Amino acid sequence: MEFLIGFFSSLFVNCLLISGEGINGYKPLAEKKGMAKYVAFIYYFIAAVILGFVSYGLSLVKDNAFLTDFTLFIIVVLAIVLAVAFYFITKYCFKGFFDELKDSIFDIIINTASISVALSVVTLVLKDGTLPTVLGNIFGLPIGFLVAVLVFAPIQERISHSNAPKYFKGIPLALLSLACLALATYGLSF
Amino acid sequence: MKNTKKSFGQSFLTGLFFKNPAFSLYLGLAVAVLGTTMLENAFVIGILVLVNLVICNVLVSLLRKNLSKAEALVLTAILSAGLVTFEMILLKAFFPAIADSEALYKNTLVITFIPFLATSSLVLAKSEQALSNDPLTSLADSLGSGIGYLLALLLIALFREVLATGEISFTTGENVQLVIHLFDIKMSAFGKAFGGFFFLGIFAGLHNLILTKVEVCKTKALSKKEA
Repeated sequence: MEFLIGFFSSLFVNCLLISGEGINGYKPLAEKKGMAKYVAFIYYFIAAVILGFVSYGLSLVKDNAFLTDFTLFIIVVLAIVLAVAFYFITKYCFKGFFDELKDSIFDIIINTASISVALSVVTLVLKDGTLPTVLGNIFGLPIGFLVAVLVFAPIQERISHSNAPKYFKGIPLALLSLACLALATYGLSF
Repeated sequence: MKNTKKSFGQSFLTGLFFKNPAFSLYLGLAVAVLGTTMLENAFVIGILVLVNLVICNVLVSLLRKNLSKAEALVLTAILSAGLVTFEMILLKAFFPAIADSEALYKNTLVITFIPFLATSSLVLAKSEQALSNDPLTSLADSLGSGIGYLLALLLIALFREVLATGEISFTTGENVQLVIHLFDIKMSAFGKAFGGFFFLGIFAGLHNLILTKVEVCKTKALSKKEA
């Protein structure tokens, strides 16, 4: 039950895109076309889950000052290692997607959206969150983010053709739409 | 020499206003949404971004002949994570009032948001740009961008804090806060992600408007000169 509560609250209410943490991970994922988009989604999801589990392991060791201070550094270095691994996996195993993904693999893995999954796990452990809640967050946050990317990309496409003031067309209007979505989820959090 | 100085100033001004990272290039938006709940947080985060940006850009620019795009990104990410870790240790040691990890519960403290600087798109994207610039231009660009980003954060944070809490507060010592009370109305939604997205969108639109007006004025002045 705790897993489900953690999963659904992170899926809908604490969604990374709508809470602002994953906004710089949005672009490299949303811009991909066809199957490459879903391969990018899978890479992001695997990386986020691995980072979540590693940060959970690191945050359990509370009496080691070095690990406490360097958790973030270890997470970022691990994200880089994962990005390099995915680069070579794509190059040798998924050659068809390599041309489309080679320039953006690093942007997909090393961004605030994946790091914030790990950081929210650390925060949750500090707040004495139980294992099922942590697991719910590890799986719920990246899935919620990917769902939000899938939902928001067509909205952004549609509002780009709207009759808005020309100075607000593009990203400013997308940010204002995200503000509305964030306000809606803020209402759900009560 | 004169020519170099001019390009330094131009690069600085471009980063500061014409290509402001938050309002024009839309970089570092995650930090801009998360870190602008309070004016004090925005100031600390802006300063840390400025320091990270200058160090990473100048270093990448110095090593540009030996680095590819991916290598520059990896170097910047590792360097940025190291710098952020070092800054967190320094903050905990010298400014415990704003970096008390037990106060994570409040979610308003600057230490909660600092880790996000490690993978800020601003630092990562600017490192790519630094690959094609000499160190002096990189220094000017990163100083301009960093200060422009700091000013953008302060502007957003001012509106968010005032509207969300009706006051502006500064930490002056351990458990001591200076509070400037402005009015009694509190719209707490502005303290959440909604406020960050809303003011980023509004100010980005207004920045576009100002840039267009500046362009129109420039074109008019040029055509007058030619006439």
